[in-house]
Amino acid sequence: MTSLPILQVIVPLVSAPVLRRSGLIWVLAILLGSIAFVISVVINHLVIGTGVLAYTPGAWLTSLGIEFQIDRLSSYILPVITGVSTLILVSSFPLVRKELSEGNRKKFYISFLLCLAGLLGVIASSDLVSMIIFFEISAFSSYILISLGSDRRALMASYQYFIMGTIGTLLILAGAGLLYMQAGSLNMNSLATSIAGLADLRMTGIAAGLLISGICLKLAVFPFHLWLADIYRHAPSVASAFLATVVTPVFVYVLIRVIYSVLGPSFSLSRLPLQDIFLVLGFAGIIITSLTAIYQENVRDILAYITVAQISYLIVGFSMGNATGLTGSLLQLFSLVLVNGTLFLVICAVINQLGRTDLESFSGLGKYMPWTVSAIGVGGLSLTGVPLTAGFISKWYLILAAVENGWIIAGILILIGSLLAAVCIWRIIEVACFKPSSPAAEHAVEAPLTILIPLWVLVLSNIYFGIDTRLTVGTAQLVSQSFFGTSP
Amino acid sequence: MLQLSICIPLFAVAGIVAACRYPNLRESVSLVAGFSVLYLVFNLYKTYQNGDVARVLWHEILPGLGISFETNPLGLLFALTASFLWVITTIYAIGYMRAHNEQHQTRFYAYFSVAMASVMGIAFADNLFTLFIFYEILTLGTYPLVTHAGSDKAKRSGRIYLGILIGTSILFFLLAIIGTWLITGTLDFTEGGIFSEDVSPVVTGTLLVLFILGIGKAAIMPFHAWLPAAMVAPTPVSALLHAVAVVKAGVFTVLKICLLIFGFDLLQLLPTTQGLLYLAGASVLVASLMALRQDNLKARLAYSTIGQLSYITIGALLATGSAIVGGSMHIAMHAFGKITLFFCAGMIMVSAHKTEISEMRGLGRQMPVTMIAFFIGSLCIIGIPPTGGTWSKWYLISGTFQAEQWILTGVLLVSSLLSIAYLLPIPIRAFFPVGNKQKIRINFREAPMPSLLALTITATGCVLLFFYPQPLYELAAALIP
Repeated sequence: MTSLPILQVIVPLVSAPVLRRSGLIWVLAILLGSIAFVISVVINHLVIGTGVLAYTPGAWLTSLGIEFQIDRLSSYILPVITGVSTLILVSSFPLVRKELSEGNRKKFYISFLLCLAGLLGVIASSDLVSMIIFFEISAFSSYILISLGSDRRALMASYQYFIMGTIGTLLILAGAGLLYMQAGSLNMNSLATSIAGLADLRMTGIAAGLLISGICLKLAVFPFHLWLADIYRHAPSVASAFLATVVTPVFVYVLIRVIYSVLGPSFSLSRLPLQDIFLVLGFAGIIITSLTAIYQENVRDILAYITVAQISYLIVGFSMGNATGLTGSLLQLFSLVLVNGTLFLVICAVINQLGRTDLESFSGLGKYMPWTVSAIGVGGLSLTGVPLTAGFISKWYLILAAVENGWIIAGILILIGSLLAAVCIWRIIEVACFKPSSPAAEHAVEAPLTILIPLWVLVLSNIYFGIDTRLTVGTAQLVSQSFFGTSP
Repeated sequence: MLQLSICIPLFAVAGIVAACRYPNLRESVSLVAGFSVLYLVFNLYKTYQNGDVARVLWHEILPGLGISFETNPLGLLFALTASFLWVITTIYAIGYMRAHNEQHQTRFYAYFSVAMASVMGIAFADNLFTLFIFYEILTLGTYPLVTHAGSDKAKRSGRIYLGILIGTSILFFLLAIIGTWLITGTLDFTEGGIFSEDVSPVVTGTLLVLFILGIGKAAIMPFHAWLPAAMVAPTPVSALLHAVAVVKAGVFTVLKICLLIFGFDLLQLLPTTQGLLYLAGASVLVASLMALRQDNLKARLAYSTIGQLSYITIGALLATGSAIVGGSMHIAMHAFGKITLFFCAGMIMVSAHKTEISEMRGLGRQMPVTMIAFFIGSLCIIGIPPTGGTWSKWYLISGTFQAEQWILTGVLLVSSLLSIAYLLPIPIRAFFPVGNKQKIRINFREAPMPSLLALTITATGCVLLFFYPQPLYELAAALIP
């Protein structure tokens, strides 16, 4: 049991160059993904009881402070990440066959699993060194994933991502290095306790600033988000789905870890001017990106900007500075995975059938691909935050947090953001259901079951977690209260 | 039993869609569902009279926020009216849709059922959260009905419909609900209101404004434009939804909030109540004046509805015994009257192919039953005996006396005069065309039988309610503390 934290990291790495035929690799990938999911659920169960699950690797690593640990925050995010990755893997085969040449398919799955392993390693890490190492593993595999796209601009997009990512990494390394100079260790637990003593030194502030900026850059937080749309446009559709649904939330996890675990809420939000910065950037992000999304002509671009808007809600939650705000952000993270999963799998389905995602070719699609288009509807409801969906729960807590602080305008802005999101999705639905069919749509047939079933599992989870909130809200509240030191 | 009244229409949707190839079977599914719901609601009413209150909790989503239902007097009044009129409208629709050769009839009947299920959910909701959920489902479920025709005009109107209703609900209504929850910790409908004494009147006053503006379905100005826009829908839709279900859901919500969230005493203390009363009064007058100017019959009826809904809002805000009784009874009286008027308008369109009032002179010779029914319906809306509308008008005006709001008394009286002016000329000129030298062909071509039957039933209902208003009065009076 104690080796579970590291086991679920290693499992996806096993695939390696074992098999030749892409079909078999696909099956193996699903198998490995499911095993990782099962392990995450078991871990979650154990952590609820004990609070922390630690794994110490060999002695010389421990002396450097390298440790693996799953606490409530990690176990909150693990099952949903592994679950959604497995669902994406299930739906990937037709798309991989369509978009990638024979030689590239094997590379695709290997990079996918490597990326997943890296992300799971990030979640399991309890110190900055191994976190950065696994971070980079997943980053490099994602560069490969993006570059495998079917047109040559994919290489360019991957290169762009590589540059942005490396700048981010340099900032993170610089920050981590400065922190090491101050604190003498990079183990997150010991940093958490020693930060209080270091808090007066300017260096720590600079280190923290570098770390957080680096992560925000890689996360495509507004206003560093302009490169995101390009990537989603040119990467293979499964890769975009994976990036938006799994990779981004893990980056958010890293941000939460750094701000709350390592630096502590009082340092980050009061010492550093993070509260004000996040407040302004967050709200500007929501409004501006939602407005930009409304004017896009390609559905993929719409989704890219919507993703940035959803991340901005998270940032707003951080800026509240109270436990309810963090609960709201954690719930927003959860619903982001579900909503993005739904919407990006819809894109996968449409690409599989139509080969293109511009809004014009969506005309009249509702008649030919009803299951796919209704999934957009439900995903849109969750995005807007209509009651009975997961999105409602997160918006509710965010607004509660705003009002707790007495920031009524913030609450109203969140509601305006919801309305803007509704307009975005409405545009798509209106075109798909109420316009005469485009030539592209007329030849369309409903997506194959291998894409539809994972899609609808996600759609139904949106509704399920909007109704049965014990698991999500309970865990999120425990986590935030432990960070803010308030008793439940 | 309580849950069944909501679930049966939903099951009916499945039945309707399955029977799409067999029109008669499909219509029978609707009718059977309608009769069963009516029977269930009537039973609930009977058990309520014996003192037995039914309560159901479906699920608690967040601590303190659950989906639960309870039989309550106002809800029973609304549910009885709505379920009875659903059956009648289905009968009417059968005649109308077939005579007009409408497309997509299955979709029509299916979404009708969805709308009725949400109406039942609203009527029996035990707390604001449940009511809000079903309120939104009603908006979404009626959108396909409004845009039924599929034309560009229908889609534009549909956009206005959705835009105003969803915009007001999310920006104002939801905000008010969240604010209420944060201040009081509960959203349950409780007698006497849920705000404690030490909450500042400025806060509760603002919440009241947010609620009233947020309930877009009550069509208070300036958020009324969706009603005339929705007239593009087929007449059975306009009849049931915009005379009975959607708009009544709006004023029902207003009544519930004024009575059971704010409470009589609080309403009288708040600074904003007076302003809102004047806004409602202005809506009544402006809507009646605009009705006078419309030549299209459905548009005139739409503006008339806006005015009548504000009557009920006035009744709710006045917070005196008579006003509440008047407002609640008007839910049923106006429903019967308006639905008759809309039925007639639909039949005039289908049988005589006329939509503008100026063309309807002398129509009485061609469609006597329809125009007589129109006359009775108009009397009910104006509030003249022997129709039920007399009672609700009576209590509303007494309410303004009780509250000593003389301006509002004036408004109500003037608008009654205006309603005489915009309604009565239509049937009168139909029978006694003035200055029309043309030879009118006396061509007896009445409406199709099912629709004619429906018309007659509702018109008779208007008159019956004058002689037997007691059940409605008792339910309404149960609300006064």
